[in-house]
Amino acid sequence: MKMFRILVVIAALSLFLLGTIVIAQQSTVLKVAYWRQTGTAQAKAFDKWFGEAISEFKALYPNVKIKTIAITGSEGDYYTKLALMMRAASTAPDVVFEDSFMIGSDAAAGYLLPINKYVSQWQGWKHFYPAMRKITEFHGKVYGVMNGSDVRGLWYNKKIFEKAGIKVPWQPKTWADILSAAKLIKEKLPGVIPFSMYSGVPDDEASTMQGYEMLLYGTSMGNNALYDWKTSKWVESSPGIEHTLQFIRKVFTEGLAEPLQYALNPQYGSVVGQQLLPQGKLAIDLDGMWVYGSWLPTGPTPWPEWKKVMGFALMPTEYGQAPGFVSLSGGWALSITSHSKHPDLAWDFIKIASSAKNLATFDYYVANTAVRDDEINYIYAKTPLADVFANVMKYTHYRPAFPEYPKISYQIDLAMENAMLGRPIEETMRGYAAAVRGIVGVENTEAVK
Amino acid sequence: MEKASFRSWVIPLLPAFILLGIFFILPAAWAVYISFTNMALTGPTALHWDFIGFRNFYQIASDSNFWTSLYVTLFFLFGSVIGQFVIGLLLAIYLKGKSTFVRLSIEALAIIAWIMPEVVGGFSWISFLNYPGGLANILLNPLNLSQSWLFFHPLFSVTLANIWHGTAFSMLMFIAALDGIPKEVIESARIDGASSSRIFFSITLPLINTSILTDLILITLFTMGEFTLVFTMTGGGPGMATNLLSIYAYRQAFSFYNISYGSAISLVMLAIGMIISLFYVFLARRPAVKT
Repeated sequence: MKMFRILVVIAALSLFLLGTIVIAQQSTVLKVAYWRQTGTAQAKAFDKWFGEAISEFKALYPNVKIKTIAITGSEGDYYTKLALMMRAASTAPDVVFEDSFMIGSDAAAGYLLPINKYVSQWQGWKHFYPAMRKITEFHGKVYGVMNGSDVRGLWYNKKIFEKAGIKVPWQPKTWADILSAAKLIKEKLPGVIPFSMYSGVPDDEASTMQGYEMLLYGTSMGNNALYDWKTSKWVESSPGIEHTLQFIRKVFTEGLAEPLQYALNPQYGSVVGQQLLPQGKLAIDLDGMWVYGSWLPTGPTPWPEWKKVMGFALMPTEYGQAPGFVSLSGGWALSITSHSKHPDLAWDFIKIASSAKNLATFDYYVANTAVRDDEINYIYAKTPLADVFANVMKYTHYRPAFPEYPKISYQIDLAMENAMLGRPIEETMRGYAAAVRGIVGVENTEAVK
Repeated sequence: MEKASFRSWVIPLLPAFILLGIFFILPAAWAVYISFTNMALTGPTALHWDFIGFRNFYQIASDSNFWTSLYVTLFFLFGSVIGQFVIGLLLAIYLKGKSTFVRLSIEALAIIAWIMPEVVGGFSWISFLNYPGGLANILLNPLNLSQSWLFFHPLFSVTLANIWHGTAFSMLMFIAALDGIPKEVIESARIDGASSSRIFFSITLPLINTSILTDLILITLFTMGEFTLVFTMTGGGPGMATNLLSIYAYRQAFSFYNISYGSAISLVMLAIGMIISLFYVFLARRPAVKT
């Protein structure tokens, strides 16, 4: 009898234990947080990309449930929400989708897990372009795997160019070439905006990256023009900064660029892509390669003729000095949070999602530039101008993704605004230098003569 | 006995205390606390912050953008308060004794502006002021005043929008207050030969004194906290032209992830709101001048 009781207790205990194990197994949940731009091509691309990656992952780990956390709202609100989630272990997702320029800040905050031990054993890592492996590094450690990038250059309307008597295809060699084309268009076609660039505070970091940096990185200091990688100091003043601001002042005060009330409209990005360019009201647009996404059948303003009408030229350096052209690249990455309870599973998910085939799907549907050299073997090959954009990748730079960058970006936008309004460049430069010193400390800046 | 009476009021109030504590007092105390730290939402001080005393407040004092925002806020505040107060009072006086139809129609129009979500209101104003095709510019075209209002007169435009948005509140307060004045008082003044303006200044205004004070304090505090309408219309721009303190605090906290500095700015806003309210109370407590 006693034996029977003991058996019953043991049986009950084992059942309980087994039950707990089964429940624990089934309840392993991997949380993946991402930014969802509802109703756009981005959301559809995510559905395809994550859909495929999740089903591959499920085949490997049938007992792990993947919970995708779609966060909607503006880009800034997304970062805020993500930062708040990552602060506490109870709310932190396992995998996060982050803009590469936030990775430095979030790594410094201790939100992200270094993944060197994972990428070093991964065959796929060597297929990533060198710049795309470097971009997610912070203090020598890797914090993310890029899933798409972009390049920037000059979109131009071939029909307007022909009307103005400029030969197409057009490829300016210097800043002066751009200005002379713009002047000619202003003269011959008064109703057309000759040149457009993002500038000023309302367009946030788009002004800094698509506008200011596309000029600044083409001046004499090149890759060290904003942040000097050799001395690890921020450049507070330099001839390059002066020339960049002078260019901005020139185009906005001499009527070569869009009117101020357009430029200072926070929605200017969609005005350019969805109205000015398709309506033939803008000749040259210094912008991201993704602009054509609006014109695809899936985009907000389908424009079937765009390939015939629009050309894409590389942005030249100031005087055409080596390497001749300039571009900036950003893009987003998948990272593991430091609070993740399942970092190995999280890595396996990232590895699957970052296969050449899966990234090709995402980059094709979201109109990104490929980050792996083998995406071209899959659907990405159908991306319009894929070879042109791959060529631009050779000249590309990426932003110094330090925690101070967002604040410096704001100061750049203010300086641009002063230049646009025609205020004296020396005064603007003094203000910018003082602001940069205030943000990073005087010991971390340098003035270049 | 004393214990019972203590229990008799504490227990029914307990849920309210708990809710207030969790959703109001704790977050407010937390905001005060982080104003004295260097906590950020990302970067090295995100999880390992230090107590830095009054350093955020020293920085505010020497921050030229803060002073620009303060000027913008004060213009917006006084413009909105005066506009809402005067128009609200005039509407209330006009509506007194009007037919139910007139009263209901005007009240409904004002209240729609008031209850409309601020984002919707903001977008309505953007299209109203749109250049060149917006209704405002079509109407102003014959006067040669058609222009990009949000670009050339942004602060004036958002103040006007806020007056439109908030006037209904003052109007409702004053309608209720005017209804509370006994008819006999007005009638006997009239029999004594008092003119309408004399009745207004010597009887009506003193009798609705408390409502005026409450209205001024409330609309001042509402306007100090105003964010959505202006943010929708201009995002604080162009430049810093409509960068209210609330928008500046938001930008610091959530665009630059400098949550401690943003909190410090909101504490300063709270102090300004309190000073202005105390000023109103002081004005209202002064003995009325008898003539």
